[in-house]
Amino acid sequence: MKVWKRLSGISASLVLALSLAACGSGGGNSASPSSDSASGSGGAAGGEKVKLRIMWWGSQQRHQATLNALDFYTKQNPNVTFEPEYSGMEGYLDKLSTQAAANNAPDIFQIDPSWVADWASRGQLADLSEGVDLSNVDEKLVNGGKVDGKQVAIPLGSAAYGMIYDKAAMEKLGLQPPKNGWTWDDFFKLAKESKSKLAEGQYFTKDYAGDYFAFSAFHYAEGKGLLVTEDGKFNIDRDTFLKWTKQFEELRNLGVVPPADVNASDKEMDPTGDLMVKGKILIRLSFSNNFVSWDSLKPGAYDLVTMPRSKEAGGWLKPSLFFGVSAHSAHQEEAKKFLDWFTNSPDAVKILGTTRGNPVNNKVAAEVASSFSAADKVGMEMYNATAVDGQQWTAGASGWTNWVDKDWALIRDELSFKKTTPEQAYEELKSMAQEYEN
Amino acid sequence: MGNPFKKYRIDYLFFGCFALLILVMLGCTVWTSYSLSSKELAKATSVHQQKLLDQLNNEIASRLTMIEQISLSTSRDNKLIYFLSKSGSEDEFTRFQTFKEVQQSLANLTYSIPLIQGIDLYMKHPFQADSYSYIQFRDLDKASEQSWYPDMRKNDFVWTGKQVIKAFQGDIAVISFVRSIEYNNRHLGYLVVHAKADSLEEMLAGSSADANRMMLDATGQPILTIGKVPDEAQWSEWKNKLTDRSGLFRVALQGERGGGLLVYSKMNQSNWTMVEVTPWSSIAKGSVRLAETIGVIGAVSIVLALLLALWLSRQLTSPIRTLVSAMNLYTLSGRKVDLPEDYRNEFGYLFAGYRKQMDRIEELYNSLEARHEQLRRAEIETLQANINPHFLYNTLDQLNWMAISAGQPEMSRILELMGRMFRIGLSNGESFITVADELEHVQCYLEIQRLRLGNGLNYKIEVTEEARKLYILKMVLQPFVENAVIHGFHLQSGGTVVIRIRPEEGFLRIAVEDNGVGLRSDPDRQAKRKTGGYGIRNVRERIKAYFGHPYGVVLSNREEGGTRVLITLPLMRERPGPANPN
Repeated sequence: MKVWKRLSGISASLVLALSLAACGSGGGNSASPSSDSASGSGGAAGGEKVKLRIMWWGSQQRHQATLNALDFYTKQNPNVTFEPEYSGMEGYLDKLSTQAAANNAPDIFQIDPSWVADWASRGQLADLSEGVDLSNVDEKLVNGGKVDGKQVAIPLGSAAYGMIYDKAAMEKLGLQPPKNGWTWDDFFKLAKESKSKLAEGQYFTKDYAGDYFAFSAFHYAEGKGLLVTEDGKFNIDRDTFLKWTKQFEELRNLGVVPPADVNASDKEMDPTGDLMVKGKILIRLSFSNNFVSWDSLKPGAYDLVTMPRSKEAGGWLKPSLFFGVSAHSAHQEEAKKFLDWFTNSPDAVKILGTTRGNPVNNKVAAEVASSFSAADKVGMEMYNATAVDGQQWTAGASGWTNWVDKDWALIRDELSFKKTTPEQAYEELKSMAQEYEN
Repeated sequence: MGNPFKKYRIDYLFFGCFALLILVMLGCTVWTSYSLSSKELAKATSVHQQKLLDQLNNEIASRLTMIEQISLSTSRDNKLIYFLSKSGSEDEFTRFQTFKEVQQSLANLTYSIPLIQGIDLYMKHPFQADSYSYIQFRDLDKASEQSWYPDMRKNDFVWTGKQVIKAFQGDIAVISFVRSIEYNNRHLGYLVVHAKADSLEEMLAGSSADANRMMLDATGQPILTIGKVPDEAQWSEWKNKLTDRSGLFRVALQGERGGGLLVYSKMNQSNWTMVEVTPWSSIAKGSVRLAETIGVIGAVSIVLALLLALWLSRQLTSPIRTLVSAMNLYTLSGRKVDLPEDYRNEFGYLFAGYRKQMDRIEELYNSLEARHEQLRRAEIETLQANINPHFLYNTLDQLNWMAISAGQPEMSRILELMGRMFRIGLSNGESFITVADELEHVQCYLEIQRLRLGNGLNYKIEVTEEARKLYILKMVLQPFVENAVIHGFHLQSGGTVVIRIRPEEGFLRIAVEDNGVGLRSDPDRQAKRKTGGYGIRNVRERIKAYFGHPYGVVLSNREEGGTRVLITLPLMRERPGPANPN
């Protein structure tokens, strides 16, 4: 009897304890979602989960440095992840344009300085006037990203336009390597001089006859200014154009520049497609910041030299690249935060080096300069040499992108394939330009 | 073994039966709910999966069809045909410009259709593009090194399995659609459209992250897979079970006890088959949860029900135990155990019955004790009485001798008769004597009275020989005879007493008659006369004590004068045993 009483007492208290425990765990369950949501809201304070699509073009160096920077940023801001899309320059603009046409542009995308005005006028770029600190950035660079007083693109670096040459090959061939401050006359003289020394299938430089940028440098050096005026007028000096194309016609006939098919096969900075990397040419145009990429393909082989000059300096400093934020992006605030970090954080500047040109934040650049590689420093040296009296870069008139990219490309091929004469080419360019003039 | 209901305590039985019943019911419930719900779930799951797979099939097939269509229209593109057919036969500039246009239009396809990772064009005398470019021009002679080449010898187009191509982003997995480009019966090259495998896998996965699905091509070979899918040997075994229509069957899975469910979807307009394998355990997860929940609820209810059973059985057995302990504690010492008074049901009747019985027992015990006391006193009295008569008898004997020696024969005769009377009166303490002895006793008395009164007193005794042997309560007659002699003949000098004894219908009837003055009508003495004196009352009481109704004594006046006493006694042929063995 007593035992039973005690047992029943124990079991009763057990049941009570169990039911209490059940209540307790029930309470715990009901409490846990609230704590989840609390941590969720805590996360929201640091930013909700965001995946930013970001797209750029460039060389392997730039890809790797940028990916490292993105990883670093995600580690510091775990709520932000990235979906990077990257490729070479070829097809980049087409791809970006296609995506933009489908309202599917990436949140952040790299644009060339000359595209800024076009893209802004098409309403594809978000207003970045607030949220990205550009107080330590050279005003010229900042202005390159402004359209109608609104900051629509963030400068990522500045670069000098010059030339890169195969130091080792020139020495082997017994050619005097060029020096900073050399002239176009020196350039053509050296080209002709090389004729007798070049091996079979080897050439001095690319066929730049129809190259928009090379001719721009020549045009500048001759003191003729921009190819298209800032207010959108065709401005190529006929004599200068003929002088330039005829010099190359001569080089072409001499066999100092490659034949058309070889010339067309060149893929800049492609390990298997770049003519200089393949040892087929000795010198080519290059931005100061691209030196690291070539140097990585053949370490120590190359050096930079300023753009040849004539009456005036041939080279110029320009904002190398910009980042724009899509006007249709759902994450503009997060994108701005990232761009602010990308521009001003010493970490970012250290990771990126000069893969997009000299860092735009002068203060930070000075702080971290010591950490830059020797290749970075070669680029900076040429940059500084160009800075002395370099041409004033402008974004150019808006709406001329296709003239530069497509029409000039056609002229280039026609000249290279000897399908046209310098005179015809000039007339053609001039007539095609009428389509763009306002 | 025996009947447990006779062996074990009721509360254990109660408890055990309850527990057993609940356990059995719980087991049945859990098992039934598990098996029914898992069957239902499997049915629902398979229907749902079938629908989902059909949907996925439609979706993916339409994407792949789109790629096939794009490939078709591209392969018929005039520019492309022109580029390929004139390859090498015209001037380089035009060819280069055509190349760029073709490259541009192919590249535009990849830009505008995100599913397309890239396009390879196998042709004679290709141009070289960037090594990682989306659009690659390859030498037709290299086509024979490709995995799809053998199939293309028999087909115009074919889908390849998953393969890896190089891109800026590193190695990218793709599945590729290869189409042979023919023009005017001339084979010009191959157009290979690479579709991003991860996009397709994402579509295949749909919203369910952990599904195990496969996409099969027309030959039943898996092209895309996600999750855990059967290996090649396993698959070739299952493959044969697929029919032309969508369906499902159970399969055995490694590491899965319950196996799995294979659901597949084949659509009329599609070459593709979608297969989903779901481990049975994940299908039955819901039912296991259900069973567990029911089990937990059941366990709690078992505990509660057992407690209830315990409480109930204790409620039911506690009165029994109270009663039993009351019985155990009962002593004749009379300390009464109090039983609860508030039961109105069967227990109430039981308690009331027990209480009544106890009361009866106590009553009986008390009366028994009184009887004992009486008996003891009677024994003492008897012993004392036995001493007195012996002493008197001896004294009478001595008196008789004294009378004889004193020459008093009459006194001697009286003393002798008295002695006989005493002897019969004593009768060794027996209460019953024969009628003959009784009559002798009365005769002795009458003799003495005749000696005292002279011959005026007559008496007559009528009795059969048979009746004399019967037994009778002793000294029944003497008081009435004495009454007749002393009171009846008081005023007369003589009288007659008649005694009649006869057995009749089981009774012994005795009549004592006299012709005396009869019963007195004097109101003052009537009561006394009616009931008789001490002797008569003694007789009445003894008859009443020994026999009760209808035996007894009736006194009445005779019509012719005198008194009649009628005594009715039982007919006793043997001496009755002692009334109380004690």
